Amino acid sequence: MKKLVLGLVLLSFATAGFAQQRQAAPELTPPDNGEQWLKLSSTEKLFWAIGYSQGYREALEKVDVTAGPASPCASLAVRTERQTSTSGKVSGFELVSGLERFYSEPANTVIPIGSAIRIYLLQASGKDQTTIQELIDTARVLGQQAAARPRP
Amino acid sequence: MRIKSALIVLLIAVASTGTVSVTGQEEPMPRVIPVAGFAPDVATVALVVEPVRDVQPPTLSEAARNNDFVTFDALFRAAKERGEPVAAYETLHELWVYSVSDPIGAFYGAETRDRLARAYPGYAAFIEDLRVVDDRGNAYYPTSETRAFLLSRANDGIAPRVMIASNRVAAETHIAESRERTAETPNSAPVRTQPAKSHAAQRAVAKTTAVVSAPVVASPIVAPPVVAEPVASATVPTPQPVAAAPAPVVSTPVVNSEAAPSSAPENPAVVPASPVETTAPIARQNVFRSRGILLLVMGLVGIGLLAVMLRTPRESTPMSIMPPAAPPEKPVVPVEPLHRSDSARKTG
Repeated sequence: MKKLVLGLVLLSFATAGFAQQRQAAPELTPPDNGEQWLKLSSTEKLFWAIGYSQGYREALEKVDVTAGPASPCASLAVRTERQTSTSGKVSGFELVSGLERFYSEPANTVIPIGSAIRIYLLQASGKDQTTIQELIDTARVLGQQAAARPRP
Repeated sequence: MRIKSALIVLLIAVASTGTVSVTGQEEPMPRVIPVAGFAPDVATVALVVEPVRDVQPPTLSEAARNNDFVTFDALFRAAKERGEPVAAYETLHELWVYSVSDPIGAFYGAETRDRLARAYPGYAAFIEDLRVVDDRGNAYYPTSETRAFLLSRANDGIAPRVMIASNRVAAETHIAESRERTAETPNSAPVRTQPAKSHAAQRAVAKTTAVVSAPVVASPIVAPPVVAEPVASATVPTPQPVAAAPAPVVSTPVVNSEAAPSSAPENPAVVPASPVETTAPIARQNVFRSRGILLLVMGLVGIGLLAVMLRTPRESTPMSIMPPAAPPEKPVVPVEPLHRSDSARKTG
C-alpha cells in the first residue's frame, strides 16, 4: 500500500515536471500595437520590420501561386501589394523610423501595428493630411476597442 | 338644396372644430399648489468624492520617459523662451528632433556616435553592443536607446552639449539661400509650396541628393501628420540658431558631410501667411449667417407674439347687470337621482 502511494506521488511529481518543461519552451509574441512596439529594442524593431516586409511580400506571391496567375485573387494581390506592401518603397530603417515617429505620440500607441504601417505608407506616398488624420482617428477608436476586448 | 345644406353643415363643423381647438388651447393650465408640509426646493450642493487636485503638467523628464515628443518639445521650447535652465536636455531634444525629422531618424551614423562618445564617458561601451551594421558595412546606432541614455544623464545633471543634428544647420542655410533667391526674383509668387508639396516629391529630392550625401532633414513639425495637434500646427517653431549655440564638445566644424539641402519645410516666413488668407472669407460668411439667423429668430418671435395677442380673448365687460334671482319660496331639497335597483328593474 505504501509503495502504491509512493508511486502515485512520484507519478504526480513527474507529470508536474514534464508540464513545467513544456511551459518553459521559448516563446516570442510579435508586437500588436505601439505599446508593445516601444518595448522592443531598436535591433528587434529593425529585424521585425524587415521580416514583416518580406513576409508580406511572400504572402502576396503565394496568393498568385495558389489562385492562378489570371485569377481575381491574383489581381487583388497585385493591387494590395501596390497599395500596402513596404517592399520597394521603404527600407527597414525607414519603416522603423516611421513607426517610431508615429508612436512618439502617446495617443497613437493603441493603434495596431498593421494600421500604423499602412498609415505611414500612405503618409509617405503623399496622401493629404485630412485623410491621414481621419485614418488615425478611426484607428485610435478601433485600437481602443481592441485593447478593451479580452484576449483569447 | 341638399348640397347647400351639406356645405353649410360642413362649414359649421369646420368652424366649430377650429373654435373648440382654439378655446381648448386658451384654457389655462391648472394651478399647481404646493402641498403644505413639504420643504421647498433648495439648491443642492454637489460635493466631489475625491479632493480636487491641480493637474500638474508633466516635466521634461516625464515627457521624455513617456515617449511623448510633442509634449517634450513644447515644454522645452516654452522653458527656453522663459529663460529657464534646460541645458541638460538640450542634447536630448536635439537628438529627438533629429529622430522625428529624418527619414531614418531611428538610427544615426558614426560621426554623431563619435561626438557623443567624446562628451559622455561610458557611452561608447553602452552603445557598442547596440550597433547595427548594414549590407555595405556602415555602422548605425539606435536613437531610442541613446535617448534613454541621455535622459538618465540629464536627470543626473551630467549633460554636456553635443551637436547632434548639425544637418539642421545646412537645412537652415538652404532655407536662407532659397529665401534670398525668392527675394531676388521679381514677380515671384509667395512660396507656399512647402505644405502642399507631396511627401513623395520630398522623398524623391532626398533620394536624389542621397547619392552625394546621407538622407537629410525632412519636415520636423509640419510634414509628419502624426503630430497633428493644433498646438503643433499653430505654433510653427522658429528654427533655433543651432549654429550660433556654443558647442564646447564639438571639435569638428559645424558643416559635415551628412548635411544636404532639404526641401526646407520649416520655413517660418511662409506659414503665417496662410491663416490671413483663409480665415477672412469664412469669418465674413459666419457674420452673414449669424445675422440671418438672428433676423429669422426675431421674425419668429414677432409672429408668436402677434398670434398670442390675437388669440387672447378680451375680457368681456358685463353689458348689463343681471337682476338677482328671486329667492325661492320653498327651500330646494336636494333630491338624489332615483336609482332603480336591479331586482326592481327585472320585475318592473
